[in-house]
Amino acid sequence: MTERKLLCVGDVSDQPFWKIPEELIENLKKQFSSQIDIQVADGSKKFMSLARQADYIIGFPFPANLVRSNKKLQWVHFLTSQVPASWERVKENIKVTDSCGVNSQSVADHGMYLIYRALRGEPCNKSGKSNDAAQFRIAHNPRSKCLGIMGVGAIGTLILQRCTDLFQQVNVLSRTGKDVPGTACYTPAQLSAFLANCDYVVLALPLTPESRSLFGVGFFSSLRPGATVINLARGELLEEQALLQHLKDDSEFRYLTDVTHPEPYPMDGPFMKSERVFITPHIGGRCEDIWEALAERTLNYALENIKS
Amino acid sequence: MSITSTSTDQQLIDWLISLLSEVEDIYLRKPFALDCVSEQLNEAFGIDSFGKVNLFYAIIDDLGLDLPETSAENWLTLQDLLAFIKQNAPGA
Repeated sequence: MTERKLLCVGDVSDQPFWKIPEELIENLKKQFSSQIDIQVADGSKKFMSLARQADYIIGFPFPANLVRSNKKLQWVHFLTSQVPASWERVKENIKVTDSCGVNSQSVADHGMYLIYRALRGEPCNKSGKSNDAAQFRIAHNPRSKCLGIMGVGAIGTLILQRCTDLFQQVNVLSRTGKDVPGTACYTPAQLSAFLANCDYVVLALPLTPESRSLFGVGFFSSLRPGATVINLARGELLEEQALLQHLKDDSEFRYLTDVTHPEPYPMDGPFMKSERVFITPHIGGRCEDIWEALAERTLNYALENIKS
Repeated sequence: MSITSTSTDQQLIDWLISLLSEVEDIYLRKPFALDCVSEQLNEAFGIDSFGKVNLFYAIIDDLGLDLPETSAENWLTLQDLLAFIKQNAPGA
């Protein structure tokens, strides 16, 4: 008798919204339980144990090293847009799929919220509860400002579409420097020139060793005085100490972000004290119908990749 | 850069920093440093349980060791990590 294959569903998020819905698990069971075993790992420890024995894994990002002893693994599906960089090396042996693009609209919507929040002069965690107008900063006029978008994947493109008529000028920086009509396009080698021209900079690029190398000391020293940086990408792109130093060096610099490292960001972390930092707790991808789209993507890939 | 069981804590930290610059999917919230050896890997440096396994393999691969992952289970602080490296570095 041949051994039944195992699908491990990693339900390891400690945020209630990102718990895998029962309906998705039931659908997987309905579709596949006659052919394979399906086990749900509802914690990191259980996940690490099950993932090492599984033929298939569905879950949130984890480094490839976690399953390096697993010689049976055939397919891994990430319920997120980004695949951890370490998976690049193993892609030849194991099929890896992701949910790229599923939440782009929602993240772009959240990006617009952060952009407008900064434009209207409220870039900090203390929400405007005062009825004293003097407590509010004077809004910026976007029609006299230049917006720069780093990364023109699905999210960057949506932000671009929404901001073209809002800002005086929109510049983009992409890995290849691909031509985007109506914008000035830059490559990573032109980072300093790109930053020097932007009042607002939106980060919408994946976390890779290559992208991270863009955010060294040169990044901050090239920013325009009083620039605003909006991070929709990953908290790990920017080092906390370097950001804190730039907040000291430039008294008008502002940082609005949906992503931090670690997450959730500690309530006593240094950014929480700053009047010029606004943090949302990685909620850009959260949207009322996002799980329906994630479930559809997951089931489609499962049908393609699970073989008894 | 190489280390031995008699390397100082500072030398081990320098080696770790150099190692981590080449490892994917490990990002420190703040750099390892001698004045924070008693701080927690998770809370202070942002290394969660998955990150710990990733870090474990980065270390044993570089040192050419074959050890079970359970060796990393008791790492709580940077000091624990340095102690592990010292115990397993060449010359130990």
